[in-house]
Amino acid sequence: MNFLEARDLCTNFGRIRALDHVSLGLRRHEILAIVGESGSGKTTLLNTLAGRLTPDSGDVLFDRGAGLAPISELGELGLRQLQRAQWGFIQQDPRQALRLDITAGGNIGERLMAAGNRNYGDIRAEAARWLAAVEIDPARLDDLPKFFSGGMLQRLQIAATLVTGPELVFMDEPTGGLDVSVQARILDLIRGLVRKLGLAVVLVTHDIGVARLLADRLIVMRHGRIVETGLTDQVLDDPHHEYTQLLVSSVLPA
Amino acid sequence: MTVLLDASGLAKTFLLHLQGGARLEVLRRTGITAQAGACIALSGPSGAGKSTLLRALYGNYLVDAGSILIRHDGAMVDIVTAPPEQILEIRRRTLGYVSQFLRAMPRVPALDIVAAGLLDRGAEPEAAHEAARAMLERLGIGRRLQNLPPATFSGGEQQRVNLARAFICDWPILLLDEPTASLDNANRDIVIAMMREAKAKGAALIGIFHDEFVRDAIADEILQLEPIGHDA
Repeated sequence: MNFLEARDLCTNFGRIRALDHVSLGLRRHEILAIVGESGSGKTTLLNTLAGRLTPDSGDVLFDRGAGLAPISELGELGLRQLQRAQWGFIQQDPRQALRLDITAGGNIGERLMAAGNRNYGDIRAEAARWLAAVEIDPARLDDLPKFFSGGMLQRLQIAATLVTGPELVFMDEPTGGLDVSVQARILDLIRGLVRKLGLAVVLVTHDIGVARLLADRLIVMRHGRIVETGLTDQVLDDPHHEYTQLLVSSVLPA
Repeated sequence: MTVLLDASGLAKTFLLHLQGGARLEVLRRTGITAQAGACIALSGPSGAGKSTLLRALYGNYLVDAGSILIRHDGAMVDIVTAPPEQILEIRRRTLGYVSQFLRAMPRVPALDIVAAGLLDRGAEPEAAHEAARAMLERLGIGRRLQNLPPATFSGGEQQRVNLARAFICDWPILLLDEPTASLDNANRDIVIAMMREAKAKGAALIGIFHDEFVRDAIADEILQLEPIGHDA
């Protein structure tokens, strides 16, 4: 049973076809990776699924407990509530998601307050707990993120996203732009948290190794179209489409 | 005897787009039937399709034709047509696979890698870690190594972590691709003992064993595969 679905999404940017009749489904607790090169439409797809972009045609549907319904029918306020409470979004650049001029604890607490929590002591304790969960020393609760490293900022974004207990998290290249050793730590952290919290995830990555490590299922995109889909290890070990074969064979072995 | 895996009419041709659309036919009308408590050894020269068959049985390669019925929760399920989530569920509880190489995860200690299978099946963390310790120790991976990520281990040590990860769970069906390839004789004998124990518990084993000593020690049946001849 899908709890997120895309039905026949089409989006054009000028003469460029960013999404070309894209349909997919996601189940609870399932981790789906979308891979493809720059310009394949994978980020457009992610933003459309997350309600950040409106498609030219087609629907995104989500089950809030009473069956699948188009998110376009929620209205702006309803969509914002959904994005804040049941969904999360982790961006490639944490600087765009966080407020660098308020404390680390404040960045996490802000999301809790937006979700309706008003008890200062609770919020502070919860923020400290989440800092520890993403391996940031809780003693840094009152530090400003602008003094954090790139890896720490990404971990702070993860904490600020997960603190409200979303059931579905969208991730856009969550390890992009980080040093390899830092990437490994973030990946391991995401892997552990996703499993522990039973999250469903839609993950966009150009890194096949990331997809293999995290995803149950894989979608390969090219020119706005899904060219191949299946179990992650099956698609990567027995790719059928010419483009997937090229993607897989272009990876340098470690 | 209970049939746990029944595959028939399997066909697999690889279409290699990057090599000018070359076609490589590896399986044609291949079948295999595995019974509880018995081991089938896949045999044949390199290129005969042993690994391809094993991977197809796991759902890692897609076959072009045929069916692969797996006894899962008391019913026969065709892994060729099963949806991804059902294949994952079958792999979680029914169908185990020992590959030749460990795919090491960054930062994850050997102990956690080995315990993962039990945790996935809902075991308590403490019990799972205790079982993982015992399994690793049986395969000669001591406490000091258990707490390290295996990325820097030797090939033989990595393979033993890989084996521990597989053998910690009781699989109804276990697929093995050269499980003893990089092991010394003492560890090879331990793995033979583990495979015998799995059989005694009613598991069906299907494996590729280049080592004749291992094959003779564990196999009840040999399935001979031959490369498919190609007309010029």
